[in-house]
Amino acid sequence: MGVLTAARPRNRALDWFMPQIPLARVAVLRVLLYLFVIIDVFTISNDVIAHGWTPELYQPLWLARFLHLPPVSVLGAQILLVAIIGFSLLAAAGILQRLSGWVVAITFGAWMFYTQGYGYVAHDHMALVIAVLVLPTIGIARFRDVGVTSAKAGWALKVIQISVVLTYFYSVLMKWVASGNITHWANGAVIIWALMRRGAEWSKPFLEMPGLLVAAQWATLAFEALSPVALFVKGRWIYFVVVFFCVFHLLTYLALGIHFLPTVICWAAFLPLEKLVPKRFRAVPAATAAS
Amino acid sequence: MTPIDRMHTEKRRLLTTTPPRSAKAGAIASAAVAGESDPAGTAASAPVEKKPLSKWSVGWRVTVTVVAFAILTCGQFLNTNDFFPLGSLTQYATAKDLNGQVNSTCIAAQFPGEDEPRRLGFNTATVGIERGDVEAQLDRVIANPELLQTLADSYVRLHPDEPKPEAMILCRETTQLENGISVGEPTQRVLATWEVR
Repeated sequence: MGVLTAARPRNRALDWFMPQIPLARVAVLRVLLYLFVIIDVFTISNDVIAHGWTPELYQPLWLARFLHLPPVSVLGAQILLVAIIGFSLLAAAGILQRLSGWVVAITFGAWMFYTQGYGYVAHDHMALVIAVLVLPTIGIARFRDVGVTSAKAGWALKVIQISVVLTYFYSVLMKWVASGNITHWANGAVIIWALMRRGAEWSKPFLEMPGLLVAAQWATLAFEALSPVALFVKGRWIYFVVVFFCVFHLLTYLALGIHFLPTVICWAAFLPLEKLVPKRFRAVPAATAAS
Repeated sequence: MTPIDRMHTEKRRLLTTTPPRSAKAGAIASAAVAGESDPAGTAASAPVEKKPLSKWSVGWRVTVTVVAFAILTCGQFLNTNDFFPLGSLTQYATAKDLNGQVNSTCIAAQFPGEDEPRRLGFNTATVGIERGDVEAQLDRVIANPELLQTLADSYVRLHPDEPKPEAMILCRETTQLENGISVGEPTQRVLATWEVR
């Protein structure tokens, strides 16, 4: 309980992988992520109830098959929705933290299998699903815990950060695997293809400038390949990295309607969110703290 | 006691007694956040660590992370989405030829009293499922056009005041590219039709 360990010998790799971070950062991140989960089920992944009407098109993914998850029914989807909303609100507010966190992990996990299990699998939810799975492992985290740090929290947030970075970095690997030669992808017509299929009206003139779109593909490859930098930058540079990726997603949203918000919200895990806690709510540092 | 004796006494006191809380706070906070991105150094006021993790706690966290990382990596090389949420990151990953074709799947319905089939929005609000979902299992739907019945049923449920479609038509619109620029008018082809029951 609250042991002070300044002189304890430390393993540098583990320090990086499980850094001590303020629990207040977790409390603020939970508000953002769990409220976003509610927005998500009403907007981005709001097709689950509709999937209740199309059970014949169910194509269960491996874990859903392993767990024998049947096609969702309309009533089942509605029950899941109510549970996700209720327990996400509790988790965001920090009420019954472990219980609410795990219930959201299970129900939102099932919801994800029912939104993705009907053919098309999007990869914008990877970091968010992993975040919802790891957050309950932290245990109790309160807004006033600006002065209390935890390695459990450090691990959970590091895992979320790695998931965010791999969403980009591994997409480069996937482009290589799927295209055989990465230059075929970069010199090809992927953005043209996307603009023709779902482009906004204002972005249609870019279809007359294929050279510019090919350059944009090379730029995309470059910053996706450099995304692991986010895990190692120090100081204020992290703000620059986070803003850069958010601007990229804003542009793809305006041009193509692809927002990647479930990944964008997880970029918050890189930021010192405890600064958002007003000073009057912060506990005075104590010599001991409850584990 | 001379001033030098007093200085030595004070030094011994400082070395042997518990330091004030604020001094301890700074030392531990700086150790705690080493290597951690902390743009504004807010953790300087984070003096209290929870007790160190047990070997078991560290062990399962490292193991789970390594296993998940391995599954995600395999997902990329096997090019499978089956391991969701650790599947392949396939969105927009396939190269497209600048002189190839851009295909877009469409859905249309024949309504009673109308001469031509009418194009419907290919989304959950109109037919209960997104275009991408059907495209991901297109071969299956073409081989089993009775699956279009479920789209018709969804349309009827979602549009109770509209007439019921007589037939559902799965179609494909194709645009030819030359050096990345579309040429000619898009062509349409019927992929499957289904008489609605």
